[in-house]
Amino acid sequence: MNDTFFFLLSLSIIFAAILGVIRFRKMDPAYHPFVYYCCISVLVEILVYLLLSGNMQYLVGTVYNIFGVVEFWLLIRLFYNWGLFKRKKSVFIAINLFSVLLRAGTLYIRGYDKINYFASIVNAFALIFFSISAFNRMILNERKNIFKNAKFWICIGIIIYYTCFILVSTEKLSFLHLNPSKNFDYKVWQINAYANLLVNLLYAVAVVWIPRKKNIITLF
Amino acid sequence: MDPQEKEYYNSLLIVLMVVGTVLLYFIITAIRYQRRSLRLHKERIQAEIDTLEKERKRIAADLHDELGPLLSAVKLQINNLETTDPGDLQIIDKSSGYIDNIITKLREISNDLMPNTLLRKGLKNAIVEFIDNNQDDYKLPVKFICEQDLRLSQDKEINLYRIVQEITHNTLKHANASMLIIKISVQDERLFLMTADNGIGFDYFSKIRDNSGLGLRNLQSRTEVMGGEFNCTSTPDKGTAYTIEIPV
Repeated sequence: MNDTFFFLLSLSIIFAAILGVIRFRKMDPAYHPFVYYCCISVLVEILVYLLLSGNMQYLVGTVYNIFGVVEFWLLIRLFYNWGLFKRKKSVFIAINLFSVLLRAGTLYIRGYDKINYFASIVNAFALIFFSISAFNRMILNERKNIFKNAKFWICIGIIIYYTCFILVSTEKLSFLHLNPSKNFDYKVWQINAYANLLVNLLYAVAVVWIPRKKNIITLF
Repeated sequence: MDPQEKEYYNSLLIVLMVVGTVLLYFIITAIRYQRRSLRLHKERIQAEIDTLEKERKRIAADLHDELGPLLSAVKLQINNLETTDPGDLQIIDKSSGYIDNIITKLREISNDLMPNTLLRKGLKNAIVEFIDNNQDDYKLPVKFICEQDLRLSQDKEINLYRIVQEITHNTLKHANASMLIIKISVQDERLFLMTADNGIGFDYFSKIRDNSGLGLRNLQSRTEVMGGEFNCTSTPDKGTAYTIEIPV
């Protein structure tokens, strides 16, 4: 199994992106950040593959760092749209500001071309906690079949992916001084690739169940 | 990989499997509890609504069938009094007028509690009658649009009628509107009840969050019981629109 195989696995997010683009105009606008997230993920996967194929590995870290900020912002925006922060814009801005400052600070210390695992892991924890909160709220308030609820699939996807991400990325934290071999890194990355495939398929299911835009017929 | 890394890798796989299993169990139990809670919630609302409607029916019947005839009999008795004294005649006349007013008021209350038209002629006629009867009191022009014949179960008709009543009362009490439009249409086996006013509007989420919107919760509960979807769009100074979509 070579890099192309794993690239194809990670490209499975394209199903969610295509479905999202097709349904974009008809879906509830609260879910738009999720479609943007899927589309940007596809672009990043392709870009990283091209960079690696073109021997420009030094740019991969920068791409992932920028993507990390954008990804976090979009998912937090999604939670905000779902009413998780009691629709307080100040909370939404504060969380994003903290994330950007954390990433910028750690990048300043470690260098901009290296993937910032510390900030990514902190962000992953935040996303897992927010997903669990959104999941609990949904369990409490949802009055229909939960399997037909996009929030359910998105929350499960986020919890699975970022839990797996934290577990496999911990060894890369520099302050732990683990210094693993490349072979070990590759094996661990494979685990993440399979988790990614599972989550991408869950996201595709989620896009199918995104509710339609509410047709508010103005009677006036 | 050196033996230490292999060990670490195997440990990682075990941790992932354990976390995966725990997560799976958590999701399955959460879904089971959600389903159970959903069923209980629906049963509770249905029971509350059934009790409320039964009680309303009983009170309406008591007022109409027992107090009404009694008052008519009292009126008859008073009118049969034989007197030539002008003072007594005036009192009899006044009393007869008061009894007429009480009978009319009783009929109105009885009709509000459970409209006969709703039970006999269906939802469309009941809403028309409700609007006509209250037009003068409300001083709010209400336009009702329904171009199709509605064939619904009596439970659904009662719930929809109560929803229309609640929305009209809310609009009158809080909206400061000069117009309310109510529209009912049926498309693809789904009934849409849409209302819109041009009043001052309100912040829907803060109303729900502050737990002050009891009327709003009633609307939601009745929609839920019918297996439908409730949507409220309201912006301060731009009016309020409700959409209720239920399977027919």
